[in-house]
Amino acid sequence: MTSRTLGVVPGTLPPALTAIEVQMSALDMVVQWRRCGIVADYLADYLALSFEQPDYARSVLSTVANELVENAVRFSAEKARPIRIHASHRGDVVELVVSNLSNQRHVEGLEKLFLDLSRDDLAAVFRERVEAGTRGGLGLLLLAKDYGAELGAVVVSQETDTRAVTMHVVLPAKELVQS
Amino acid sequence: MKFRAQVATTSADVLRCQYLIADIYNREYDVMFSSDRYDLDAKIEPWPHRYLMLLEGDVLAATLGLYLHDTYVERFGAVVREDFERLLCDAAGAGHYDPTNLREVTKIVVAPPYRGRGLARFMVGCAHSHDFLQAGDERAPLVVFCAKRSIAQRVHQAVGLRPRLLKPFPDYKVHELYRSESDPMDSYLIVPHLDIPTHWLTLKLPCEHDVSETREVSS
Amino acid sequence: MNEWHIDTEGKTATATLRGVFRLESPEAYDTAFAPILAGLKTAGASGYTVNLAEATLMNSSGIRALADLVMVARRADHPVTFVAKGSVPWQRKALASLESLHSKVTVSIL
Repeated sequence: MTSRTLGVVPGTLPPALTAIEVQMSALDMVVQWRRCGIVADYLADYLALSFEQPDYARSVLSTVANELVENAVRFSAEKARPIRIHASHRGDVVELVVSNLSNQRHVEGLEKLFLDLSRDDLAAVFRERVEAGTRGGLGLLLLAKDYGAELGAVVVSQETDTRAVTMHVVLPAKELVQS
Repeated sequence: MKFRAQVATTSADVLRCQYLIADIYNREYDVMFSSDRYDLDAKIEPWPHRYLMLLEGDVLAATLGLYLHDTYVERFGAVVREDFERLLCDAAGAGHYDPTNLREVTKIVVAPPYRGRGLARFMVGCAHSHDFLQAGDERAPLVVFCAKRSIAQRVHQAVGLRPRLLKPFPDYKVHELYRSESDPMDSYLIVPHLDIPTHWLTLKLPCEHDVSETREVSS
Repeated sequence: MNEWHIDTEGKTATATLRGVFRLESPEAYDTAFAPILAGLKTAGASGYTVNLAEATLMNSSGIRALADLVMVARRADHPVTFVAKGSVPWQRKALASLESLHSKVTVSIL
């Protein structure tokens, strides 16, 4: 098994003040897409109570979590296998870690995205993708561009075409407060 | 291997069928499902109303669905009443059927470990029984389906069904990974008392089916 | 039962979006937003308004679909106005992106 890192995966973060983990199969969302939002709202509701403006925090957290859940569902190669989401409030940051099993084709898409995310002007990346007619792949870009999220992924190659992907998203806590 | 064909009657059984269909349709055709909307260009399909299960012990080996109304053929196949009437005119003794009373056999899936054993053919035969097509006092329906020509030949005709070509099926994005120019999709009509062999039409469900352990070599 | 609703029959040259927009894909939004696109094209140079104020959440596929509407307006050099609530984070942030696509995008913050 080989492992590689895309983007920025946090080293040591402050300890979790509040944390929650959920696990489900992508197939549940294929059968009922609305479940993506249900999971996102549940995680957001749970963590938002830690913030001074819980409604605002909930809106941001639900938006961010929903993108990650939808991506994990779309890019899970074996839909019956579990997706795991761990969300934690760590004082200055909120971290979301999403693990699922994908394949090489999807990982290649992720590699291209992380190349784009390494550019300084993410607004330009957004414009280019829209103007090029690229229909997918905007979710993670918008998290980085609009929510100041730091993104990274660890990809572990497994048997045949399977890739275990763990996506790390670190969101500054100040994004969860309305300025 | 012994299999049992039965109609899914509990909500748990319906869910098992839906999950198997969703798993295979999403994996092979990138399709999603919805209980409250459909959009073929966005690859969102409507769920069937009734399901047939093929079980090996407790394991769901294969399943298929049945639309009891709002069939695919009517909604998306550009098939109109005149198309039915044209075929029914040519079918002796078919005048008593109502072209608005349709059933559509759909979403035929076999779990990968069970492929190559003729289970799709057996299941499609069972699906054309009175027990599956008509529940309770439902009126005798006409049966329709849409499929690639290869499926109509290798599955439906192979079990003795005599489907009548209704119309070529229009192109939708949802079928882009399913159909091809060399194997296009069509809509078909089956007139039960003429086109379904008696042993399928009168088959009682649940029923048992023995299959050789040896897998068929697919052609 | 939809979590979302689009009203194009109310105010003239205006689409009002309400609810939670988390459709499965940009293609799913093509169907949902078809009345908005039709209204945009009909309004032409006099401009069209998309009121997002009551759209509490929208996923990136939806934002992509809004961007597609802006691109249609840009290609025709027609104006489009978005109405949003400043207190709803996704609206403020998404509209900043949409404004950057076309010089005739106006954002009205409630």
